[in-house]
Amino acid sequence: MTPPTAARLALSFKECGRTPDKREELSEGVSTGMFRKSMVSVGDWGTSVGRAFYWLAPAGLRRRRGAVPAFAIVEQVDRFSIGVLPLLTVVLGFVGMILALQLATILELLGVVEFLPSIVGIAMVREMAPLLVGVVLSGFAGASIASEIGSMKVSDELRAYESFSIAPTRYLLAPRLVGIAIAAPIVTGLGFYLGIGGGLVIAEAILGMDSGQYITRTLAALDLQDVLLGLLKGEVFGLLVVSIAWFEGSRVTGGALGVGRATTAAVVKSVVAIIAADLLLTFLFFRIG
Amino acid sequence: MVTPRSSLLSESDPTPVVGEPVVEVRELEVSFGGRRVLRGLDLEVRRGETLVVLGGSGSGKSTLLNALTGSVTPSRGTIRVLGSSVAELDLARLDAHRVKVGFLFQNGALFQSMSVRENLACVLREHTALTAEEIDILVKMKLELVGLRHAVDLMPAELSGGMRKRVALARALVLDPPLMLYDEPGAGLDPVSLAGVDRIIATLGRILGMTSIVVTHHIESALRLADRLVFLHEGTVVASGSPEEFRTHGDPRLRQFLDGAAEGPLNDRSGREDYATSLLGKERLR
Ligand SMILES: Nc1ncnc2c1ncn2[C@@H]1O[C@H](COP(=O)(O)OP(=O)(O)O)[C@@H](O)[C@H]1O
Ligand SMILES: [Mg+2]
Repeated sequence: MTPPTAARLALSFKECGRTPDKREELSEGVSTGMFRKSMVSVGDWGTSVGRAFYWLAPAGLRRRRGAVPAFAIVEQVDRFSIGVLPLLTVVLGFVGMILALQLATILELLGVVEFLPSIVGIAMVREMAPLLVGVVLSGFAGASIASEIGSMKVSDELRAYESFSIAPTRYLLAPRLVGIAIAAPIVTGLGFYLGIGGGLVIAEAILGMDSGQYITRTLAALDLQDVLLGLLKGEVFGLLVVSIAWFEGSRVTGGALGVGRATTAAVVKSVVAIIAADLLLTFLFFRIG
Repeated sequence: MVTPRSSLLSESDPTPVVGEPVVEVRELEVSFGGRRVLRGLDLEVRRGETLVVLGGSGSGKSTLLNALTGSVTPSRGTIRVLGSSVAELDLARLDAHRVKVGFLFQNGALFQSMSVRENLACVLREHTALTAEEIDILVKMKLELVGLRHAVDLMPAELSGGMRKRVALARALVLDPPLMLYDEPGAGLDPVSLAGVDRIIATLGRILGMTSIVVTHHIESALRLADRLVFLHEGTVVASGSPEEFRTHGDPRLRQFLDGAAEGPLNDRSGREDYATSLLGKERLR
């Protein structure tokens, strides 16, 4: 029962060779759709991470066979630690200097410039170093993982692994997660030194402080809990960066353009996730220490 | 020009013994987001047989292969492959199942970060207890089979399209799977490379008695490879038969496909109600 106009139109579209998709999705409320989509995304993200941890469990506890390749873990630790060192040195060293310069003016005005080492130390260890390590990792490791996994998705490499019963979560994701879990605290710890070192350079060169005294004061201001909180933050941020990058890369569709989009999304989302996690962790440990 | 099958191999080749069913698909339905891609598909492939699947783009050929490996879950119907009911396998059993089914991806899907040697070796290391030396020998043997032993130390990016496809074929064969699935093995190949790949597929089927399902758009290559062909349209098998039967088949849709005609029953969608309604909206048509 098609009116002639409809038939004519239909015929003129014949060459497209494609029936237009049903429009059900559009009629649905936009906000409900978005909420549901983001919940599904969080679910998918959690599933991948869960699978990776499954593969890290002792083989006897698992029904699926296969080990996480050790050589790949070593590769990833190297990539996330030695690989980020130059960038990390510049970023944290400079931020330590900036922080010391900014504080110096105010502290001199108040006549308490001797507090500079403790303030720089606490700010670095509890906040700045882990946060900056997270940001450096999301730009460095996150972007490269998303594009690397994204191009594997596009070229069917991920499916090729599956076709040989090599689960990508075991062979590719688990080594990256373990790699970052090992590298992130090391890198964050180095970040403490680099940031505090930046402050020290300014204090000595511009404020004429004694470096030995600077170090003594820094150490006196910091306790173990500060250091542990800083390392924990670095660890959480690193895991967020890698898992989000994996998630974005492994769901790429649409060729090279999709890979580019995934890379951007991975960096943006991991920076947001890092800051949200930072707020949460800082809040949780607010009363401690 | 259709090359008769005998020209691919010498006359003395043994004829394969066609045995028990290796693949049995009954009333298979697969949907993506409410859209039915396969709609009640039936298929049977016997041991040693080479089945060619023809069909237009989007007719569900890849989906069918993915259902056989357990990568997509059917909404209805049964799939038995090599004696197991694929849709009912848990992940651990699916792992074991996939090892027995070789899959040649359309663009090869080689592991880009690994050399040709590693592409094959990592699969062997994963699934066998062979020593490094034995693995190396096996890798070279499989590469020899596809005529690429000299490329063993190259990276995938250094290979031509045809070479990549052949390396991928060697890799798919590295575990000696009893069943091989080929998704458009000829796509993007020049005629010579295509003939080379076809000859390997034919060799595997004829001489080694491997069971194969080949999805292809190349009519010539389909007719010379196949023991039997099926033609897929809108998610079901609309024609099936031997190459001889296909050449003279009466189905107008198959005829259009084989003749490569631009106009015909395959692209006439104006009669479908959902097309007109989705184009103009239901209200307007009332
Ligand atoms: N994973 C998927 N999700 C959604 N739609 C899919 C998926 N895989 C295939 N399709 C759709 O199913 C239809 C058949 O696809 P496919 O089996 O790849 O066709 P063919 O290989 O015959 O060209 C296409 O319209 C495709 O868009
Ligand atoms: Mg396809």
